[in-house]
Amino acid sequence: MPVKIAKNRCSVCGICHLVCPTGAIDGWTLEEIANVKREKCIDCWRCWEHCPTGAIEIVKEGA
Amino acid sequence: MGGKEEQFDVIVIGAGAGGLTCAAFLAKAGLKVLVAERLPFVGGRGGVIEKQGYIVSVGAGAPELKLKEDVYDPLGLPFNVRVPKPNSMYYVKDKWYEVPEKGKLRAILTETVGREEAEKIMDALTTALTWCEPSDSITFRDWLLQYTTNETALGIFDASFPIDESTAGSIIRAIKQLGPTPYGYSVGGHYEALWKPMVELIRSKGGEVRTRCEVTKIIVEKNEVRGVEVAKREKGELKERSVIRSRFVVSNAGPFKTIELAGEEKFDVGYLKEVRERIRTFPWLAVQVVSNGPLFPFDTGSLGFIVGKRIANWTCWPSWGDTGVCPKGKEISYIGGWIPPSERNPWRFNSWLNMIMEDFRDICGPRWRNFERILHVGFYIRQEWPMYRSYYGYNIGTKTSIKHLYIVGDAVSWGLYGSAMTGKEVAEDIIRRSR
Repeated sequence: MPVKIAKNRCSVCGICHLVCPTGAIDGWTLEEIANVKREKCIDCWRCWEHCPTGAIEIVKEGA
Repeated sequence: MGGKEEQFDVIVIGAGAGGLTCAAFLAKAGLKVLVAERLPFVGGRGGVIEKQGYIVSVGAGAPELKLKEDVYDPLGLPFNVRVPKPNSMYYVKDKWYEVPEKGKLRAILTETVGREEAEKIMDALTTALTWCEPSDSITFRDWLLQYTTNETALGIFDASFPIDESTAGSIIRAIKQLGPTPYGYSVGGHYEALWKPMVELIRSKGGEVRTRCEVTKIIVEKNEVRGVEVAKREKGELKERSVIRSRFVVSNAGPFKTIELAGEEKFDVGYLKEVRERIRTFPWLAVQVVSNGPLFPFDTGSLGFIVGKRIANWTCWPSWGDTGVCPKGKEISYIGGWIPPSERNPWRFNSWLNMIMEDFRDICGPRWRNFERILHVGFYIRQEWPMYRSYYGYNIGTKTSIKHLYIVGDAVSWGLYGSAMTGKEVAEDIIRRSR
C-alpha cells in the first residue's frame, strides 16, 4: 500500500525513518521523506503508528 | 465490553514528562489514574526508539539532574543517570574550556572576553534578575546589545538560549524560574532510566498507562470537564470507541491540541487569545551520529556549548559512562542548533544538515576519524511536536478556563525538568482539591 506524507503536517522529526524496518523511508529532506520507496514497503503500519503529527497517510489499494 | 463506562479519578492525556510525572504523583497519593497515550511508546519527546542495537532518543538529549531531588526522590524512585564532571564545557574560537558548575557564565565570559566586559554584562544581568525585568517588546539579543557588542559574548548566550527568537524578559524569567540546570545521561536510555520506573509505580498503585490509546474528545459540560472519549489506534483506524469518565483531566498534548479536543467554543475567549499569542515554537535541528570511539577531545562526557559556529549550539554524548545505549565499541554523540526563523519556509533541510555536520567535524578535530555514520536527524519545525513548545520562560499557566482541565508540559515550562515540574504542580493541586 502506498504511503503518503502530508507535507503540511510533517514536522520532519525523522521518527518514520527510525521505525521503518525495511528502509523504505530513508531520506533526510522533506522532499525525500515524502518520496517513500513503495517497492520496499511491507504494509507494517509502523510509520503510521509512530507519527506524532498524524502526517502519514496510507492509501489503500483500490480506494 | 457491554458499553459500560469506565471511571477514573484523573485522566492524563499524553505520556510525556509532564503527564507521566503528574500521574505518578497522583497514583502515589492513592488516586486512580489513567494515562492515555496515542503513540506506541511513552516519554513523548523524551522517548526512545530502539534500532539495530541503538537506543535512539526522539528528542531530549540529556535529562536535568534536578529531576532527582524534585521528582524521583519524592516519588521514591531510582534516578539512574550518569553525571559528567565537569558538567559542561564551552567551545569558543576552536578551543574547549572547562567551566565550574556554579558561576559558569561569569567564568566563560571572563576567560574569553576579558574581566571588564564580563563584569559589565554580569552587572546588567544581576540588575535584570533582582531589580527590573527587561521588556518583552525586544529580543534578548537587542537587550544584550546595549551592554556588549562582542560577538563571542553574544554567542555564549546564544549557545544556551535562542536569543533572536526569545524576548528579553522571557530569558530572564527562565533563568529566575529554573536556575542553573546541570545534566546527565540516562542509563539504558530515557525509557529505562526515566519513564519505566514511573510507569511501574503508576501500575503498582492500580493506575493504568495505555499506549495506542487516542483521546478523540475531551467531554465538557457546564464549563466543567467530565471525561474523555478514547479509541484504540490500529492499522490506520480508530477502533473500540468508548467514553471514560473522570473528575479531572490533565492534558500533556499541548494547548492547541487540548483546545481542539475540548472544542474552541468551550473556552473563555481571553484564554484562547492568551494561548495563541504566547505559545510559539522555534525551529531546531538535532543530529545523532555513531562513531567507533569518542568524537570529543575530552573524556569527561561534558555537555558542550558551542560558540561561533554556523549552526551548532550544543553537543552531548549519550553513550558516555557505559550507559548501554549502543553496542560495545560504538558511541552515540548528539549535536543540535537553532535555525533562523526566516528559514522555516522555504525550508532548506539539506543545506542546514550539511552545515551542522561541517560544524561537528570542526569541533571534533582529529577525533572525527572515529565518525561512522549519521544515526538520526530530526528537524523540529512545527507547532506540533516541536523541540520545545514554548519560547523560554514565556508560558501559560497549568489551569485552563475549563474547570478541572489542566495543561502540563513545556507549554507551561521547558525541558524535561520544567515539564515534569508542571506535572508535579498539577498533581499537588488535584490532591488538595480531592480531599
